[in-house]
Amino acid sequence: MDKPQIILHVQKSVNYTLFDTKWIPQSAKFVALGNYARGTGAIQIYEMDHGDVKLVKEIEKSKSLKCGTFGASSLQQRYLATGDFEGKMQIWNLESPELPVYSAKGHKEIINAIDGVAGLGIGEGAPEIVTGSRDGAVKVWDPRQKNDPVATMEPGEGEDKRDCWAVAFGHAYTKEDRCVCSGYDNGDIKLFDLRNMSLRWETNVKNGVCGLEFDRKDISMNKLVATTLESKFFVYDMRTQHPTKGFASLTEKAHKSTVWGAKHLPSNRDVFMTLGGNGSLNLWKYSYPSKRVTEDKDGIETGVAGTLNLLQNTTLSTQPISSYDWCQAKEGLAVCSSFDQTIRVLIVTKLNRI
Amino acid sequence: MAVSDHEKKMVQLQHDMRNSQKDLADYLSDMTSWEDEIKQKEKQLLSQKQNTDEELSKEKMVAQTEPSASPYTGIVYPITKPPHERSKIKQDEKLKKKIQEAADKSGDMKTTDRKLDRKLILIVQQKLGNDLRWTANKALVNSCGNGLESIILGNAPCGYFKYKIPKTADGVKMFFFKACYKGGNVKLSDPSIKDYKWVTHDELSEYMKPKSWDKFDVKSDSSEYETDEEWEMERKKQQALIEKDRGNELFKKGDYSSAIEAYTRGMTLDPTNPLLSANRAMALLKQEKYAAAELDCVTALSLDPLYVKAYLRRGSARFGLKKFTEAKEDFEKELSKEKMVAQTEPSASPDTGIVYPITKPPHERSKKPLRRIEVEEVGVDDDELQKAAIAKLIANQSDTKKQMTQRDNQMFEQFTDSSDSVQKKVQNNISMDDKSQTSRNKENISDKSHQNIVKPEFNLTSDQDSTVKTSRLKTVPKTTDTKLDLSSVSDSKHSDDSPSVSPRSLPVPQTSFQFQKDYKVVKNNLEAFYNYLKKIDPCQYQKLFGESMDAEILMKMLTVFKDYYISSNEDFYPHLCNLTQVKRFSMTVIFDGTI
Repeated sequence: MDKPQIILHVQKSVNYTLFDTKWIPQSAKFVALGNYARGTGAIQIYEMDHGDVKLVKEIEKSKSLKCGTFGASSLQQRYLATGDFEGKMQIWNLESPELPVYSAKGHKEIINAIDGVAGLGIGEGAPEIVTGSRDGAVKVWDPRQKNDPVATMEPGEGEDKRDCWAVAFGHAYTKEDRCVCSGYDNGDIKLFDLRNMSLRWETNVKNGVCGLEFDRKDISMNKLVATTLESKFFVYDMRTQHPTKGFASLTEKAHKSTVWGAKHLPSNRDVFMTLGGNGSLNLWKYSYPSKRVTEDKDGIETGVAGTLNLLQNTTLSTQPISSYDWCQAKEGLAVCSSFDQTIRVLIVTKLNRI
Repeated sequence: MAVSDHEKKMVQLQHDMRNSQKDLADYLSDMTSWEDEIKQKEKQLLSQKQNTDEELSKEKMVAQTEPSASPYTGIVYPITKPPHERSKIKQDEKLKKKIQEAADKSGDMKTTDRKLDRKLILIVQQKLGNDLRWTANKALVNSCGNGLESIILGNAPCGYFKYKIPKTADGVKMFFFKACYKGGNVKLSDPSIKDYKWVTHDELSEYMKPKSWDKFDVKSDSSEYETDEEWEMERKKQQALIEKDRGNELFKKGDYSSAIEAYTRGMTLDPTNPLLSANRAMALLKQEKYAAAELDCVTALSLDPLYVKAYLRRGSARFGLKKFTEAKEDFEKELSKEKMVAQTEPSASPDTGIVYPITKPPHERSKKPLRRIEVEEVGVDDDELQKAAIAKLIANQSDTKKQMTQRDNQMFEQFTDSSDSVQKKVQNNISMDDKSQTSRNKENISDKSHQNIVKPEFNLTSDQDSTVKTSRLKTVPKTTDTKLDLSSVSDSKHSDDSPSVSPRSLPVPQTSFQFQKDYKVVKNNLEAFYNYLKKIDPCQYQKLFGESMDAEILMKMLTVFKDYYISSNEDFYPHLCNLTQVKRFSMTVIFDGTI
């Protein structure tokens, strides 16, 4: 029985609503973001300490924070980029968090999702941050440019504004190339190519898209996992784009509830964890088909989707697990948070033997 | 004993469990060592970071980066060294560390083999004072020797020429300086210079490529963007325009203070643009800062005397400052200029939408006499709609209903006929036509009938006019009433007994019902009652009191007669006469024994 085991290592209850947890790169610390009942934002930094976590720092901000990423900061600086409930994107130096290093009121409404690329030694080119907000706009920021985003993708004047629920960077394998994928509440998935500044692909999966992730940000697009409401998620093979059919995909049902997100294992891009609305976690492995590309009847190349294999699952809570982050520095270590106001540190064993 | 499958499975399961546990234990022990390791690494990172921060703060060299550089310290830009200049040492781990230690330890900042984990920028410290002119002078001396006496005119070059070196990413920018020849000879000292010539402007084309000397025509000194300064100017003007657009955007959003800031920035960039000061004046006007607005308008006008809008805005500003005569002047000027200047752009100027109390100068105002318009609340606005509604209703009604409504209408007609004069007067005041009124009334009534408001009187077919009138009146909706309250003479069929109606404005009653109602209002106030009674024509008494007279009312009336009429010597004989003619007057008198 060489199945990986998901073991709960530490469980910590907090007194505020948790929205996001992220490991601080190159350290045994992680940061938890959320909001207090009084409506102010909470940032807490915990450190792993011999079988337990201890609170290292607690910061309170005036506005509730929804999401954060370290993706665009260098290893040296490890600045945290956050999006808050008012549509402000800010970058914090956790050593001196009184004032943000960067602040921009980019959106008119809550920033639902944030992602960073080209920091931490991952990806090529300039570090950038992308935010997706309820006002329907997706904006790409460069921390060196004040106030204005580098690129904005928003619905046209007079058009329906759909809430953007998820954003992800990908395809950043050269200095010039970069793609942003955004998922909306009506099931739209749009892939923007930032090099050509064009919409490269879009599709609709009928249910609101809660989570999006490329298997790797710094390679040519390989796979994209989109998780939606109604307990479905999709895995797209992004290597071959058909002019009309788009990308090949496979659909999977899991968790019997909203699938809140999917997180790929840093050391193996074919293994990912999906987070369920019923408090469960599923560990999947994707297997490629024997032939990834075939020709359809018109002779045009189309991709072929592979298969998924459920490696392990576990139920940790009764409330949805809203965020999950693998530790880059230690394989198998992960931190997750759920709406029952608990932070859980997990150990997933035997990952090297998958 | 053979092991059964079941047992095999159990054993296997136990085995797996043990393995898992072992794995976990291994992992956990691993964890502790990892934790320590990673904490160490982190400390290192932090200390390194501190060092760089200190170094950066120490470096106060004049960097030749663009003035719009990022505000951060420590934010890295891509490496600016071309690849062939970088260190060719292989960067394997140990060596990396060694080199790192060496260069970082020694503090040697002239090598690229330092801070290997970060990107480096090349900066050069240059003494200020070695400007282009100095360089040009030096070049002249270097190439033509010290013997050539000349003075270079001006600090800025008179032209430049750019070209790219083919097959490389490099280019050359050649600057040309004008100098005044004073004397001496050229003595070539630079070995790379082969020959020299003194040529005329026309001969120049033989020796130099047209593009390079075209730019600085000796005859016409000014060419576009000859000098960097002019280029700067142009750039600033562009930026000023951008600021103006930004300001306009903010203005549209209503964010006046930010708009003013943007305009101010634009003005510092380009003081010659009258639009910026005029727009800033507009924003200041919105903020009611009239004096500042006036000043800005003056600036705008000094830059462009034909800028019509500026006059308009200055006029508004002066108006705000209560300098009315001057404001008037401005507006007049604006008018005269407008006739001269072509129509301004159709795009909405900020002036539209501003609510000024009066923007028209007195001589332009309408010469029509002011007309008092009665404020009226009208239940149904559109005549057309009304008629359509009526037609629809009638179509939908059943026969019996139709009959009823017809009969009602007939009764109605009687009323309307008897007080025709009154109505006409009313109509004049309200400027509504008869038809609409009656049709409205009809509609209201038919409405009510359609809605089946069940009032017992409604279904009565009793012939007493008064009772029918009563019933009908009760069902009239209130919407028609407010209109009537305001007119002094009523249309009388629909007056509602609203307590807010002052007794003074009580209409002349036409029916007993009305009288009853009004009586209730005025009964406590004898004077009011007296006034009220005065209005009533004695001949109407019979009609008003109908079949009977209330003893109380009679008493009141007699009291009034006694008190007021006698005192004012008014003749109330006709009143009394008519009273007696009221039916059952005698009966009432009998019952009320006090007379």
